[in-house]
Parts: sequence; C-alpha cells; structure tokens
Amino acid sequence: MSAIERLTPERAKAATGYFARLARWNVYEILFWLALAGMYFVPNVDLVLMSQIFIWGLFAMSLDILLGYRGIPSLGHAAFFGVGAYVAGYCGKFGWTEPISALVLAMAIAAVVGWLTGKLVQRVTGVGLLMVTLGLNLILYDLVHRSTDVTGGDDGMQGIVIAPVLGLFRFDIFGRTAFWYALIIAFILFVIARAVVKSPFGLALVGARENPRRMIMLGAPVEGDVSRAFALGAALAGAAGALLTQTTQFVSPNTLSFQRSADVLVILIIGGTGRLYGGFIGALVFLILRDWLAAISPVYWYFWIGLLLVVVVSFFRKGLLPSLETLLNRWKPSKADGPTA
Amino acid sequence: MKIAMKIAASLLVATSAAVLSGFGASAQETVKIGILQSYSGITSLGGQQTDSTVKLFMQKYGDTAGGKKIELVRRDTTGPNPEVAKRLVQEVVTREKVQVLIGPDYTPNTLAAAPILMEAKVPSFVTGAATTGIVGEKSKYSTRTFFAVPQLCKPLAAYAVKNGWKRVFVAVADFAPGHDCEKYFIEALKDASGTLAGNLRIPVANPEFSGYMQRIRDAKADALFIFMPIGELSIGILRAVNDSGLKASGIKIMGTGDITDETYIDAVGDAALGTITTGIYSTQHDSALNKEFVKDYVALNGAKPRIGWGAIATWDAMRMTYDALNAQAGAKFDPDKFAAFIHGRTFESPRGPITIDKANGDIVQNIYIRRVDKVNGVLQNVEIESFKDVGFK
Repeated sequence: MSAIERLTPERAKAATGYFARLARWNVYEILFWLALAGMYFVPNVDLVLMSQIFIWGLFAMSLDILLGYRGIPSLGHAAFFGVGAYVAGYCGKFGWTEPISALVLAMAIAAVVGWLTGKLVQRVTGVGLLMVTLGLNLILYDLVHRSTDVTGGDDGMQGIVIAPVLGLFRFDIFGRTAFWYALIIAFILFVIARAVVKSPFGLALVGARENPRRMIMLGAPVEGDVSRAFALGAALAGAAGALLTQTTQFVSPNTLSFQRSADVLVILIIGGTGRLYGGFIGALVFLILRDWLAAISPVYWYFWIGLLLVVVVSFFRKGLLPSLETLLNRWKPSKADGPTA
Repeated sequence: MKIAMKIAASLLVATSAAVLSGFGASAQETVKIGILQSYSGITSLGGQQTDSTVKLFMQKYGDTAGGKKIELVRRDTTGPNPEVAKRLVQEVVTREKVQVLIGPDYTPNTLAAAPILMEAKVPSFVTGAATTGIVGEKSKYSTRTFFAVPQLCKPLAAYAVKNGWKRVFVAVADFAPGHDCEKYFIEALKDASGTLAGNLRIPVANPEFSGYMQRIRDAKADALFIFMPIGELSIGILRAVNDSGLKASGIKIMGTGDITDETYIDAVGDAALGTITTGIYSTQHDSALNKEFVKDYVALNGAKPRIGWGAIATWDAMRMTYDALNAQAGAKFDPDKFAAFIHGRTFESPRGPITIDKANGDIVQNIYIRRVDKVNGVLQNVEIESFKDVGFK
C-alpha cells in the first residue's frame, strides 16, 4: 500500500510487525482443522455429508469476504457457485477429466464473472445491492434452466466423467476421496483467503466497510477494491461449485437456485460474519442438524430448522462464533489491541 | 434420592429392553427398503402419496416377504435436488445397507443416483421421473414403474388427427421435460400427417397466461395441445383457456394427464370439463383390481388428497418387490436375481396390464385417452379409448 511506503523505516517495520502478528496462527485454529480432518476416523461418520459440509463452508467463507469484510450483502452468491459448477461440469463432459486443473479453470472463470459483477455494482449500496445481485442470479438461473440443448436444463447435465484425483484416488461410493479432496482444497483456499484478509488489502476492506468516506480521504481505491473483493469471493465460490460437481459427478440448475443463495447467507449468519471460520461453523451446525432432523422426521423437519434460526438470531445476535468469543473474552481479560480483522 | 434412583434404574431397564428387542428383531433376516421421496416443501404431496401407498400395501400383504422382514428407511430428497438426493442414496446404501430402493424422485435425482446404485448393486424403482432413457444400460438394476415422456406425448397426435383435428397448436412449459414432450408430439403429428398451427414455450416462473391465449386464438387451430407440470401451472392454464373464451370458441383442449391430475383438478373446477388427456392411470379405470385398490386406499387414507400416479407407481414397485423376494425365499438376498426376476415380467396392475422391458427395465403399458367428466358430482378422468402396449421410446 502506498501509505506504508511513505512511512519512516522504523514505523514501516512496526507496521509489518503488526501484520505479522495478525497473521500468526493460534492454537484454536490448528485444533479446528485437525478436528475436521479427524472426523474421518470417527466410526460410522457420514463422509459424504462431511465433504458437503466442507464445500458449503468454503462457499459461506467466500460470501464472508464480501459480507463480513467489505460489508456487501449479496442475495445472488449462488451465481458464482453455479458458474464454477457448470465450468467443472463442461470440463468433465468434454474430456478434460483431470479434476485439479478443471477446478483452477472454474475458479478463474468465476473470478472474471465476479470482477465484472463488481464493476457493475461498485457504486450501488444497501438494498440496491441486494436487488442487483438477486437479479443477476435469477437471470443466470433462467438462462441455464431454459437452454436445454446446451445445459441439459432442468434434467441436469449428463455424461460428466471425473478422473481419479492425481490419477490415484477414484471418487468412491463411500465418499472417502470426496472427503479428503474437499477438505484439502477447502483448507488451501482458506489459507489463501486468510492471508488476503490479514494483509493491508484486507484491512482496507474492513476500513471501507466501517467508514468508506474516510478511506477515500486516505486515498484508498475503495471502488476498485469492491471489484477485487468480488473477484476473490467469486473465485472461492466457483471453487466450491466445482468441488460439488466433481464430488457428485453431476450438475443441475439447482446449483444456481435462489434457495442456495439464501441458504449460504443463513449458514454464514448462524456461524458469524467477519471471521472466515464462521462459514465453516455455520455449515457444520446447519447441515448436520438438517440431516439429523430430516432423518428422524422427514415431513416436519423444516419446522425445527426454522425454530433453530429464530433461536440463533435471538440469543446469539452476531452468530455462534462471535458470541462464543465474547463469552471467552469475558473470562479472560482481553489482550486485544489494534483493530480486529 | 430414592425416587431418583428408582427412575434411573427403570430407565436403565427400559433402555436395555429396547436394545435387546433390537437384537431380537435382527435375528430374523431383514430386507431394508429405502424410500427416497420429497416429503417437504411444495413437492411434499409426492412423499405423502408414497407413504400412504406403502402403508396400504403392508397392511394388506404383511411386513414379511419370502421369509424376510421388511424394514423401511425413509429420507427426504427435498424436491429436484441432486446434491441432496445423491448424498442420501450414498448414505442409505453404504451406512443403512439398504437392499432395495424406491426412488429417488425427479430426473436429476435419478441420474445423479444411478452410478451409486449400479456400483453397489441396489435394485431401484423409478416412481417419479419421466425423461426418456434414464433407466437402461447405465442403471441395469433400475426399473421404471412410472412412465416415459413419449408414452404420453405421442398417442395424442394420432388421436387428434383421427378425429379430424388436423391443425394443432402446441404449448409447453419452457423447461427440459417440456422441450422433450414438444419434440415427440410434433414428430408424431407429422407422422400422422397433421399440421402444426404454431407453438409456444411458456416460462415456468410466474407466467401470465392471458397474453398467450390471444396468440393461440389467432392461429385458428382445431386443437390445442398442452404440456405443463402437475400443480399451479396446469391449474393456471386451464383456467386461462376457459376464462379467455378460447374454449368456448370451439377449439379442442388436450394435453398430457399432468394438467388434469386428480390431486389438483378440483382446484381447476368446471373449467377442466371436456379436456382430453393421455394418462397411465385413472381411479375410474374399469377393473375389479382397481376398484378394490381405490376402495382400500380411501378406507385407509381418506378421500383427500386424491390418488395420483405416484401412488400407482409405488404400488406396482411394492408388488414387484414382494414377488421378487418371495421368488428367492429361504435364500440370501441376491440383487442380480431380484432384477432378473422383475425385468421381462408382465402382470395386471390396478392401472391395467403392464410389462417391464427385459433389456432395460423400462415400462410398456396401455395409454388411455380420457375426458374430464363429472361422475357423481366429482371431476374425473374418464377413459374413453386406449392404446395398447405403448413403448417407452
């Protein structure tokens, strides 16, 4: 950032020290990821469900970049998920069966779509943003839904072939490969997202969220940052979509549905925004409860999910994770100084 | 303190009793049947119908077949949602060890589930997906008891031309099944040397039908062919056809049985009268077997919601499951024998005679031309003509 370059060497060093401190991993984070990996060894665990939790978690984290860090509410985030899912689908259909490179391609295309969306909405705020993002999502959904010849429409795309990961691990019916593949990709992308939000760029996003006018006066490229944030969020969402296509070897317009945009928002809000982990926690809670309730009461489970949402929103105002943090901090006098990101 | 101890002790006894009885049940050999249908949201009627039918079947024929106890595992697919459906199929197959599956419903769900069922060798019944070619070589353990789109869309073309309605206007819902049906109908119309007066694709999300009615009227067709999914859209278009005066202008209204499905026809009301549709089953079907089925169903589940096609497809799936299990009585469950027993079978269903194709498990059945009439004050699809043994291609 240009602001830092003009500082004296000592202060620059202090600033670098600040970001280094910010980026340090704490023990809870390491435990969290080890616990996720450890789920594999729990007897009788539903590996397929776990892999879908990682995918939803990654998807929710991608929305967190926009909503939690930049304060952009989006009701159309499934559009980017769907773009990734369909790109991976087409790759598998037309002979590009190697999953990792197809995933990278899906991310790149989703990023471009996201960047363009960012350009389009960078001057829109508040309710207008909700409407524009929702509108874009619906347009894309209808396009895919109606172009039966190209996309398979409502019936979904047939004939997707995904080669074994690294040529070694076939996607099996127990979901073992899907578990590790989704977890490792989600972790790598998490590390990247974490590095970005704990960098000066991430701090600039938070600054623009809190006080855009002041950021402009500081000379920060607030509008350009919006499209960059969109590109990053969309790339991560696209990766989640591609992961879903590859682990299920199927893609349908459902990946682009408004329901998915709404669900991911709910997951993020349950978990807590502005934490990166919120998405994963929300996905764990939401999907495990949904699966469990739907199995014991296939007809009435929606009622319990609704009740859960009401309870979370009324008792954990900011979501599960931030509320727990507040509780912890109450016991342990804070050593927090400087802005939190 | 004493009371607390007592409660704790009795709880302990109760749990151990439950655990022991669990062991008792597993001593007898069981067959687990997975039921994957939509139980929630706007598509919940499908799951409800499946459950009602399974309940009726098991009440009538007991909960054992071929000496094995039948155990049901139900899961909610939540509608056309392949992500959830495929995961549930994996779950019931790998963890619950389900041996036979009824479902999942909808084409995308069926397609997503096929590779799993094939690999795990689990025979399944397609009771709620109609796209052509979704059973067959890629899922050789699958059997369709529903219908295939061409079965419903083709016969009407021949029927219309035969009755002198040569110029036909085609209106379909703008999504994959609609595009499919449009293709088959227009093909069959050409084969029967009828002419296409025009065609329309109507969006499935909140359509406004009145504008389309004028275009159909301007085309001056003899008949209008409609394909719409069961539910709101079918109700909407039949009402619009009536209210716009299009029906009064003398044009024949016809379509696939979805538009006059018994579960929704009361919502259309008298506007549906006289509509000609093709169908695989009507509760009015004239056979002793059907009369018994309808009577028992209504006695157990009540007159509402009315019996739809999902019920008959489930009934036949249960029937074949029991027959196949009886055929391998005393032996260990064998999926290959199970599928081989079913494929190639012909039997009398409440809907009429049906045959399961030997080569690919799809269904061959009679297609009935029906007209909506009032029977004892209730709107019914009355069968007026039938096409015998219509294939699935």
